[in-house]
Amino acid sequence: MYGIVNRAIEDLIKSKFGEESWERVKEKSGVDIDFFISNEPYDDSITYKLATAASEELAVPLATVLNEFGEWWIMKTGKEKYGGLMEAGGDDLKEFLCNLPVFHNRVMLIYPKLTPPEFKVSDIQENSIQVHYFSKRLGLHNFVEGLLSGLGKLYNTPVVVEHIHHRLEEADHDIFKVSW
Amino acid sequence: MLFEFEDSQFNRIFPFYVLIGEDLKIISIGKTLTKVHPDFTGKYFAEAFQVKRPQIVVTDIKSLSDVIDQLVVLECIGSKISLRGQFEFNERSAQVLFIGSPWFGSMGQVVENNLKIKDFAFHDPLIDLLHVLKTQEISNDELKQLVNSFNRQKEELKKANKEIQDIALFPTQNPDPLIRVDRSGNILRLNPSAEKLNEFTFNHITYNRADFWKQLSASLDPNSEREVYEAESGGKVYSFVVKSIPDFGYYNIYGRDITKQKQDEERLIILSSIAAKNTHGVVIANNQGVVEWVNESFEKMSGYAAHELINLKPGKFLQGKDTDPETIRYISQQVRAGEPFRCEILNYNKIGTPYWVRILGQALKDEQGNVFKYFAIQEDVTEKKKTEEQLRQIETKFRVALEKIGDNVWEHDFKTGKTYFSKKINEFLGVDSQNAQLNDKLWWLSIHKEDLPLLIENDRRCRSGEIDSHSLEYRVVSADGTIRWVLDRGVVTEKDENGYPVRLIGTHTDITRIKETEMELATSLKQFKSLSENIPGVIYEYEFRKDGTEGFRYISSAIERIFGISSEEFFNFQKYIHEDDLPRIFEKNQKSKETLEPFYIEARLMIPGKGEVWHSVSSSFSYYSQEGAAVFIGFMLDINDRKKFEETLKANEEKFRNILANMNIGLIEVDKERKITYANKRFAEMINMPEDQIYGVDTLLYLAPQSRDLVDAKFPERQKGKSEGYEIQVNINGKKEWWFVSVAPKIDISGNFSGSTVICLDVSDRKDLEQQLIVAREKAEQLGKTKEIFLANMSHEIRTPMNAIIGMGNQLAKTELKGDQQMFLKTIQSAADNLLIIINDILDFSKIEAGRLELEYIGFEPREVVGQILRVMTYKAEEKGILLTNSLYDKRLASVLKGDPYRINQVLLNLVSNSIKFTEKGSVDILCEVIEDKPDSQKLRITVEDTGVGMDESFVNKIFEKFTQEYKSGSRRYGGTGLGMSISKDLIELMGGTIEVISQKGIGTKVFLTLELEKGVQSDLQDKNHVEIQNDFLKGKRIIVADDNDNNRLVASFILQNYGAEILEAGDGKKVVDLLMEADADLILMDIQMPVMNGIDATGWIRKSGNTIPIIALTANAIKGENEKCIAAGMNDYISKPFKEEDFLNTIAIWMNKSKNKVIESVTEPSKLVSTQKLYDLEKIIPFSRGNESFLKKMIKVFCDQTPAEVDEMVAAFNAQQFEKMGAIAHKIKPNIDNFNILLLAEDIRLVEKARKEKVDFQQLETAIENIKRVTSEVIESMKADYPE
Repeated sequence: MYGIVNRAIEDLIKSKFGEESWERVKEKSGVDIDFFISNEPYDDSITYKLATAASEELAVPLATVLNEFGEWWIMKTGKEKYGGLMEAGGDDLKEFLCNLPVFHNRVMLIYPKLTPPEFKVSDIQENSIQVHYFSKRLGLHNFVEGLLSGLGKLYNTPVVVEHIHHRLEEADHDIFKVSW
Repeated sequence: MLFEFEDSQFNRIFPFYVLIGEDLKIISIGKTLTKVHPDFTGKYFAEAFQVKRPQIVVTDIKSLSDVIDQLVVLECIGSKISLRGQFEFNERSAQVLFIGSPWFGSMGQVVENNLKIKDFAFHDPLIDLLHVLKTQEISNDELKQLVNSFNRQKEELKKANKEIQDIALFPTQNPDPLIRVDRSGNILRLNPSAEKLNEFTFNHITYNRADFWKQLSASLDPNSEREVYEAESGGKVYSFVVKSIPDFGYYNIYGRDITKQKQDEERLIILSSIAAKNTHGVVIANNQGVVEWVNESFEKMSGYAAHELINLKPGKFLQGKDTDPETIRYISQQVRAGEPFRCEILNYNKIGTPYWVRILGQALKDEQGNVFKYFAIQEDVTEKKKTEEQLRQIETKFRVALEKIGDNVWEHDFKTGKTYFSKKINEFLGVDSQNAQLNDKLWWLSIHKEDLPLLIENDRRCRSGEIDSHSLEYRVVSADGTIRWVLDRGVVTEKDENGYPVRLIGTHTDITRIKETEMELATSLKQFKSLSENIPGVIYEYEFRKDGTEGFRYISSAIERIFGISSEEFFNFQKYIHEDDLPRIFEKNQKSKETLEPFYIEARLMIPGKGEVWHSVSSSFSYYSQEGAAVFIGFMLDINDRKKFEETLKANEEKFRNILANMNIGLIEVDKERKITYANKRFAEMINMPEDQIYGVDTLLYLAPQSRDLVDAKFPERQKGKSEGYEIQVNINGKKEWWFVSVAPKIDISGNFSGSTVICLDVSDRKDLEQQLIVAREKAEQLGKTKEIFLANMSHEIRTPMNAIIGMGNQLAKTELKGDQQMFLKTIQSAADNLLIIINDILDFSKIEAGRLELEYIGFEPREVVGQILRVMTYKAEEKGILLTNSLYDKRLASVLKGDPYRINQVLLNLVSNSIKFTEKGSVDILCEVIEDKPDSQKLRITVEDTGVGMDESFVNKIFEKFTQEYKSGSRRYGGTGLGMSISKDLIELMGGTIEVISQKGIGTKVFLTLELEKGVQSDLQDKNHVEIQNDFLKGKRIIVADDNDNNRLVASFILQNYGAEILEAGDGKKVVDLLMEADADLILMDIQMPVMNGIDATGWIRKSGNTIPIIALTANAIKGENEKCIAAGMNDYISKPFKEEDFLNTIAIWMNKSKNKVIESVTEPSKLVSTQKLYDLEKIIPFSRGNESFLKKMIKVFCDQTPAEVDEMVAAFNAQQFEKMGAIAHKIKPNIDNFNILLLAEDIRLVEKARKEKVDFQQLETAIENIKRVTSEVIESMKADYPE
């Protein structure tokens, strides 16, 4: 993962729970890196360790941490650091989600060493859409759920995200139904 | 806009393009791509590229053209170069174009692939992006170095900080409490140990932490260097050293846990006191053994004053001539070794008197283990010593005595652990050894291992002082393996000061013999007890004593279980014996007493609460007792069941023997050859032969030939063990008789067939009767048939003229009549109607009698039935000036029920017409109510109530009898056959209902019909086929009227001509056939019974010739079956004579229309036929809406919105021959059709639905589909008009 991801976790915990909380999370995780450089790739395990430690430290399930983080990623990291890019994604939530596959494929340009997941959309209805999430990484579906609900917030559109298909094996993928 | 480029131009703009053909072959690729992959052109796309994004499977050109609106990443197979771009599909050429450029991570990769800047299009920003990326990477690296350097510094800082903290932490980790307080005692700092101390007890007062230090600091001197206090806290004693730090104005207080130290001090004080005051002598010596201190008791014991002994060694002044040198040596040795010692020693006091002391000595050692002092405690045991000596002497005497008795005597010394045995030991163990110690070991080894735990436990209890004596029995195994039982008894003769045994003496006695006898006895007893308890009889011993008396010696307790009397009670047995049996018993008993012969008797016991019980007693002489009595051993059994069984058996045998011998049925037993082995009296009579000659007679000789065959045929079955009964004919002395025989096989003990037992009954009389009955039945059947034929003929013969009378009467009524003529005609019509009713009644009656009345089972509307009655009868009621009403019609009554509406109508008509007939003034009322509403059916009660003449109770009782009317003269007054009520009752009962009459003379009559009918739906209703008849609806039509009865022909022709038809008349069937050959016709009315050629045959001819002209039968036979015959012959419909003009015209109109439709289908809209009917209604929906009109409208809207699409889909499915789908859609539409009561489609929709699962006529299906499409659109149109939005 790129440093920006770990930085986002750091920002999330610091702003919501304070500096000390972040220090304890870092201590618990055993991660000995003081400063994450945004466009420097780091080992995936660092991100997982931080998320797990945050779950322990804040006494909330890991799923909640990842979900929360997903929203944060959209509302803070995306909006503040890549505001222009996000705005170019679409005028409203539906348009953004329809553009999501192409949008995400373009992100590769920003991070050449990225192993980004792939998104597809289907069942596009007036008030709902199904987002297919293909990833080499396991266990990040809650993060994606958070991203999707974060997008709802970004576009001021209250959404319901349902995880309607759980990935069971390597070749499989997750499906989320986003309704608004 | 169309762009056209030359190859070179296109290559300049898109040097990485890929063009793919419809067959997925690469047509061409851009020049730079060619540079890297010159071999790609001509390859299949999948051989050259892998689509990394999006995830698709490339199977055809469509899979590429499907993703034209997505960003695509391709990976070149071979070079791993990723191309990022997009596909575009050219519909005209069916080719896909990929436009994109490589996606490299760094310039290094560009160079590695041998690419130069000029290989990239100018608009391609990749190279520049890579440069930017590189710049960014450089700054990143620098940033990283900076971060690392920060990190390093931070780590060092952290490390330094930690060290400082460690040092600072040091005093806080001190396990002793450290406290810092200011001058007023306020706490400034506490280390963790001090934090744990919350309460302090100081000078017997308890303080909390804060108060304590304040209290203490008040008494402190700020200038004092060091002050020490002691206080308790948390159960421990602390010393607190207070150090004043004047420079900072506070005290540092250093606490230390001195609990142990304090305890030691206290203990020392107590110990010193104990030593000084002890009643035993206490002496303390230094490590050289020189006395340092003695207590008062020691002074007293030794007779020396303490000061005389100080600096002396004890041995010097205590030991004398009889002191045991061994003991002295032992003590010296222990002292030298610094080990404790314990012994008894003879000392001498100051004046030389010896005294015994028990001495306990101990060295005291310092922490390094060096002896620095000795101390010893001495107890004066002189008196005890004396007693022991006396005891020993007594003991010795006893031992000698015991040995003389023959027991083994032993002695155990607990101090030495040795046991001494007397000589007798050898006899137990079978060894010859005089070594006492060896015997001791041998003894323990010889103890039987099962008994060893017993001894070990005894030893433990003895040693612990729990017991002072014992008596054990156990086994020892001698050298040769023989096991002997030992009685081991012992007693403690000496104990030490603590109560522990010192010496134990005892004896061993050989009890092997006693033991063996005991065990044998126990086993025998157990066996006997078990035996006597479990055998199903009572064992006893009975003795005849020397003094002449006698009685039981023993009775086993089983007697209680078997007879319910206890052994003790039965000792006085006479009182339980039945008095009649007593003399026999005494007699037999006496005999046994005298001769000692075995005794056996069966007699009755009289048991309280149980009554008489048979028992058997049998015994025989066994032995003479010690007292000289002769003892008989025997047993008693309960034989009650056996006795009872024997009695029953006997009685039964007697009974059956009598029956067999005397019964009026012949019984024989035959052997395998069927020769008689036994015959009873009756059988002998039956074959007319004396009983004594009957044995060996061959039964087969008596059989008539056909019966012989039957018997032979059945014989193999018998051999297989089968019993059966059948009739045979026998020949007895030339006289033929019929017998019923019941034959059972006889099976011998080995299970083999050994013959048969035959019971013979003469049934000749019954046989005769049977024959007569058969003849009578045949006769009756013949008669019945004749009656039926007669009825059919009568029906026909009467109906034919009736048709003319009624038909002509109707025609006459249409003409202008004068006053009188009108009255005459009305009388004729009324008489004809009555006559018709009478004929119908008689016909129904005959049919009911013959059980040939069949009921319809069709859907009908009960409201319509009642309405019909009202319509028909109102006229009659009005004529008599009475009111005919239907005052109650239960709303719950289903709109459609299933049953026979015609017969219900007939019954109601009969009842209402009766009521009108017998009512002179007032009213007749019909009431319909539901008395039980079930999900699938309804039980209803229809009451016909009048205010007529009423009936006597006696008549009400026989109102349902046939040919009954009240007053014989009544017939004349009221008319009728008297069959009506009987027929009504039969009809209602045939429908499973009941009919009941309540009547009061002069008040009126109520007739109740109760019927349970199944609920139906609209679609159960038969097609009404009601058409509107115009005055000229037959204009231009040619109809053949065939009837041999001129009148009837006239009636029919006359009616039809009135409606414009052209009539061709025929007197027989042949004429009809001829007419058809000459001219065309539109319809034929065909009588059945005609001369020359009847209607059925004529129809056959016509149909055979291929003519499909509608043929309607005119039948006068009201017998069921006639109509079916007509249809079967190829006719289309039938009209019963006499007919009503309306029905007649209606039937003709229906068939006229049908044939018309067939010919000119394309120009006529069949729906117009039923145009008077409403296309739909809301009757079924309204209950759902509960008065909510918007709901209704919504339902209608939904129907209007959805149905056309569904119907279109269904039509499409039909056209595509997808019958499954078509049927499924029909199934979906069906509920709407039913709910909106679109009767026109009720059948069509079902037909289409049915086509899903079974084959239906295609033509019919097509028509149905068309109907559905047309009618639904009309319905929707109509709905929209009725309920505009």
